[in-house]
Amino acid sequence: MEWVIETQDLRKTFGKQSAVDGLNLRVPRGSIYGFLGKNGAGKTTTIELLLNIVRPSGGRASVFGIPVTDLARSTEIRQRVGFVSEDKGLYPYMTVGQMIRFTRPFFPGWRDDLERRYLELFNLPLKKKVGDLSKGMGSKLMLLLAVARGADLLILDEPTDGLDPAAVEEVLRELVSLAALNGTTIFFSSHQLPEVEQIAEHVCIIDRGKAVVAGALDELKAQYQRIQVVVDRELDEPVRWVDGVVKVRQEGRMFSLLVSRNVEAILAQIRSLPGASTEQFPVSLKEIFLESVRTN
Amino acid sequence: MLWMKNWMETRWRFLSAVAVFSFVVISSYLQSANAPRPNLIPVEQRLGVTLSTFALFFVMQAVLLAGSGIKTQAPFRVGKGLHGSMHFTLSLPVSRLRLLATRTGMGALELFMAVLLGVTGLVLLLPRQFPEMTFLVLDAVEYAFTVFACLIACFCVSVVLATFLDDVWQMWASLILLGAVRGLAGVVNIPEKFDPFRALGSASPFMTHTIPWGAVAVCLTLAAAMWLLAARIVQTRDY
Repeated sequence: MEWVIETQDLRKTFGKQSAVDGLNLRVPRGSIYGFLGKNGAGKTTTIELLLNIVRPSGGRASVFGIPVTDLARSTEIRQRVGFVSEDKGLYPYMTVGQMIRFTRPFFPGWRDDLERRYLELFNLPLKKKVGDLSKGMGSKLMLLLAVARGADLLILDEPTDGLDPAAVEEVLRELVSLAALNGTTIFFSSHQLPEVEQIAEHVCIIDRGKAVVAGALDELKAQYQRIQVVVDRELDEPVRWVDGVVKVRQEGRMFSLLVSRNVEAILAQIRSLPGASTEQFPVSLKEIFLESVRTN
Repeated sequence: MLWMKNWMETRWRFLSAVAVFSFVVISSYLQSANAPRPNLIPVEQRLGVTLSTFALFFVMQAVLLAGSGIKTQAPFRVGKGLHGSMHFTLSLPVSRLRLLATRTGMGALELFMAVLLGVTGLVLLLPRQFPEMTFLVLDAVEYAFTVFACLIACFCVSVVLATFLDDVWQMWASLILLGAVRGLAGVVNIPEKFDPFRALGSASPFMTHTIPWGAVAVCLTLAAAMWLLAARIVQTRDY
């Protein structure tokens, strides 16, 4: 598999504070990759490292196989990347039309068709000053500027922030079609787990600068399960669960287990309990996320 | 396109700088018609004081026009943790060196225009304020060159500060720093021919009828050193 983004033991410290702490990440070409984490987990810093806005304190990172620290080739990376920043900051003194005319010449692969399509789809007023746009309209303009670059990779930091639910749906649909039709790799961070679950093929959950869960979403959801166990009498002593049980909740004779792997061994252990009956449930990305960042 | 962006970003600074300077020149021009002429102070000394005063305005223009570096938004304008348009700019396929070069290029161009307009104003004002003196066009050209050379040093000091300070802090820090340098120059004995402050006032080409090459060389060297320092900071720092 070809990796568009690859980091190895990537580190970034600000003073004594560690923002990214040995992050290992591999984003496959053409995939939609959800990058999740709590506030302050290190998502934005990672994105800034990939774009060479901040410099790594240690480890390695490459985009399209080009080390992000290679100053001579860093413009080559940015030529092929569309970016939506967390705060959606553009030039407030320019109009929407000027903003587009300003950005276009930097990207030889600029897609006029996508520019027209998004102008129409988002109903962006060409003559309005960027500073006078609502937050949602600002987000839409930034998405247009990122997508119309004709980029091979879109790095989107909270791309749907400030959008109404209808616009969110539109944007998500567009992202899926970009990946499907153009083979664009989409790496996006979001707090909106249902959005990520809706479109992402791969996810990475980051906590305190480290990846705590990473992989294909389908595989993760197959790996993670909730197992409900009911025993027919009170147990004499607490159960020492085998490896793979992430969390146990007990209410009387009922146990609710969240397991991340080793399901067969866990089921075997359950069968050894007196009069145990079990039921298995799939878990949502939200549950995986909450348990991963809590247990970590 | 970066030139257009830089012009749009700084045009109000440029126009404000020119407007303030024009106001001072015009009001001085109008006042000079009625004001009784002090004849106790030698005319050269009075001219030196007048030119030094105008030099202060020129310095403020230089500081103002050096703003809007890569880090532009003042924290109170965008809120804690936000970066304004900086991340968008840094995501463009342009080297930081080119961003700095176009920004300083536009600022220097605006400064040049401001100096030209300012010196033109002075050429109209000075003969009215000092009718006993003769002001040659060549002196005015040499004075404009001297002012620009000296201001480029102030401008580049301010450019260095703009690489890591937002607009508000950059302006205050530049003025405080240049004020401190001016104060220090008054205490330390700088050889006259290398003193930029004298070159803008009492030893200006209007008085000496020659370019103060020593002071110009000092300023251009300082400007080059400051620009290289700014380039080094811009290329290595985190934004």
